[in-house]
Amino acid sequence: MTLPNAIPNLTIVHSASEADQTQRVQAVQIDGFSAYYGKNCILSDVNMNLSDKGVTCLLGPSGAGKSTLLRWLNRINEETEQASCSGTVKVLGRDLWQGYSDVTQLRRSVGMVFQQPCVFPCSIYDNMLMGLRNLKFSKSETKQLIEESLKQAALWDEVSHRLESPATSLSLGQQQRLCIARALTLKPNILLLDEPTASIDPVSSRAIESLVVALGKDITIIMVTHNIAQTKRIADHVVFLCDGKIVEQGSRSHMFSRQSSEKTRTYITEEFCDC
Amino acid sequence: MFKGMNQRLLTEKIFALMARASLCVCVSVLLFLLGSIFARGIEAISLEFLFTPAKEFGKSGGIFYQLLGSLLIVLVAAILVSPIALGTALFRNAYCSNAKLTHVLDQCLYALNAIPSVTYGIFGLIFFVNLFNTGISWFVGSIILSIMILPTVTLSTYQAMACVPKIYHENAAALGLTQAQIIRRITLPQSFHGFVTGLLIGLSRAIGETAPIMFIATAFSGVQVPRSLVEPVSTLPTHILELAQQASDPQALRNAWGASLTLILLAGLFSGLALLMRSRLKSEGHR
Amino acid sequence: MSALVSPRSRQELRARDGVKIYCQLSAILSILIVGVILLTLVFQSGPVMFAENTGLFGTRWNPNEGVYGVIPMVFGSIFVMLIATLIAFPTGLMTAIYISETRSSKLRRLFKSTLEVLAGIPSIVYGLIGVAYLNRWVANIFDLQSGRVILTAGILLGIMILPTFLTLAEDAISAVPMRFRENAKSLGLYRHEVFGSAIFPQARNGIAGAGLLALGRALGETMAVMLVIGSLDRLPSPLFNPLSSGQTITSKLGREVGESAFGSIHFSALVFMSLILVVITITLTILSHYFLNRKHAHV
Repeated sequence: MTLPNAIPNLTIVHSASEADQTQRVQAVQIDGFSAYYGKNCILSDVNMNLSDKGVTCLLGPSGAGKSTLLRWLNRINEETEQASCSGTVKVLGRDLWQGYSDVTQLRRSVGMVFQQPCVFPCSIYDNMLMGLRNLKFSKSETKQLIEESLKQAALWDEVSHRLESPATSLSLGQQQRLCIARALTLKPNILLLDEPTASIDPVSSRAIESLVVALGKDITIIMVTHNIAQTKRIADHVVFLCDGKIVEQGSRSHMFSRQSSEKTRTYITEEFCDC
Repeated sequence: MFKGMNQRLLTEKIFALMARASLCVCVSVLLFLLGSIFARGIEAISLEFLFTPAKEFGKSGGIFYQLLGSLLIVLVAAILVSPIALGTALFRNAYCSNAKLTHVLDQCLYALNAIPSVTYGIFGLIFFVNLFNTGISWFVGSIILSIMILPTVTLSTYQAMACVPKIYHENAAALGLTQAQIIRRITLPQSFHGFVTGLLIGLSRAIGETAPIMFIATAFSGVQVPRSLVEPVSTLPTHILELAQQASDPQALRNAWGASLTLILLAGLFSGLALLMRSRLKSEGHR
Repeated sequence: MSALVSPRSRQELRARDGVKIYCQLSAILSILIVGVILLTLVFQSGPVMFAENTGLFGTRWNPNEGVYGVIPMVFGSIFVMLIATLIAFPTGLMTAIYISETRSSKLRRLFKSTLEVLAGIPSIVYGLIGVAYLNRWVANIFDLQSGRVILTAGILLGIMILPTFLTLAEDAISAVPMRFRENAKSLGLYRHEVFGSAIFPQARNGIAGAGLLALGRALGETMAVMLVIGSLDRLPSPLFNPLSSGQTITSKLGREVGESAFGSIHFSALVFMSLILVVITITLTILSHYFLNRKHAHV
């Protein structure tokens, strides 16, 4: 099943040959990117390339600009007052601004889940339907998509018997997984997660972590976190940001054992950063 | 499937266009209203206009006695409403423990807010002018206006009282203060700004009202300063009403615009003071 | 010890009672006022209700013949209110959406404070504007002899209730937390879909409250309507012809209460209309507060 939002030659891949084709397109390419709130510079001259599927963690102390970076990747930050940016960003091989005729097309291929679980005050099913409703799927297709997504988010077993009950009746951890499932209904190529476990109890956090790892096998996941242990558990690729700059980036093994920067080392060992 | 997308985009475009168009309509109406009132009003207004009495049924001369009458009637209304509004708000805040009674009191205040202004006029005409046989009297006008602004003042005072942190009451009570002392030392000083703000907003509303006072408190011409409680006065709104009914006469129309601008400036003065009060107290609270 | 305490406490007791009694009296007075107003209206509309052959619910009003049909006025009120609603609600709602969805809080503040100024313009001044401009424009556009018609009153009233509706509707929309917008937008929804599926369901009660409150205002508005509606005590023909003169309850009251003799059937018929009006506006307002309070309970 193809989704209408899927960008030509970037459709969701099912066969190996197609997969090879899409591999050539880089998921995210950022060059000389700076972001501002009013006159305050939040990010300066960020360069970053993510070509692989898998889980990328944006790690750093609070105020480093991780969330800002993430929020620009699907242009949700445009809605924030006084936010502006400069530089080039390419998502899925296309320019973030010129490459997408309208922003909703971008946002359908780049899903996002926020720190605070946010379910709409309607039933679980209607929550799942939110992004699909206007895409003209048949009823059975819609149902199938919703079921698939809920299964992917490991929520199906818990909610399949009560899809019509209000989403607010779920626990916080379930709500967050519902948010992830909701984002997955659109079959995004990239999923942005903004500290998805920050406001959730440890047990649910673990459930979400294993979910993220599983999802990372199929799509690109970019996740903001300041939790070093968590990064160690789930990341394939780590980008360490501090004070609006990328200090170091590399694979997990590189970042945790062979880091080249002294700053990275102190942060990882002592959770302290003096920049 | 692509057709579906285009339809969505089209709806989006229409939606955005309608929102912009509505904003433009609102802004142009706003500019037109303020622009016409100010442009036409400033033509007519002058110190002489403000301080000379009306002549020839308002066609020439100024609005001196109308100005005085309006001020008199609303200021007395403010004096009349103050004790009742304060008492009612205090009762609701400090003494009313019965939820049902609070509900009834609230509904009564909402109902007072809902009663159309012309009905207040009719009530005043029946109850005071005829049953109490006062005749046309400016004081009855003040009473009616004070009833009209009672909900505004009471609700504003009450809201300010409800905002006083509970911990103040608890600490004061822990120091052994009685309820009356708590009211005097804590509740009143902490919520007085709400009372004044409500009063000013009520005044700015009352001064522009025509319908409640036109049957019971005002006469159109030949009125100067009243010497007793049961004499009529003339006011700005009723003056504008008379002049507006002779709108074909350019001279009358000109004076009507002058009186309108004066009225709006007076109302604006009251609501501006209320705004100032609110913002000043807010900043003090932050300190 | 007890000797030390008791004189003070007796004094305090008296003070406390004084304050308490004063507060209770004020509250009772507040409630009493509403009761007295309603009772006065009911008693004074008694004569016309019990008099015979007044045709109270007919379509003719003629004091000389002793016929007091209130239908033309009730119809006029509703008709004018409908026109005002058709103008104010869509415009107000779309503008409220625009303002609440804008990124600039400066624009928002500016607009809100200007609206407060607009809401503060006395109704008689709106009436003057109606007489001086609107009236003539309507006459010119529709080629009428006089612009004092139902349409003029409706437009003027629409302009008058616009600020009330707009501010309250905007408050309701802005009260929906930002995260719902962000989540809906992240699902690739267009702005109208974000509003329709994420914002509106949560702002619905607030918007309904705003609408009902504005309706109440529209029904009770006197001076401006009275000056531009043309004061014709007949049903328009054809019935929904906005270009004919008409009469609303309020304009009728404003015109005739001063002229009718106290205690007459004529006066009683006017009070009866006023009673109808009060019952409707109080119901609308209490309903609107119900909606507005429910909104707060939700958020």
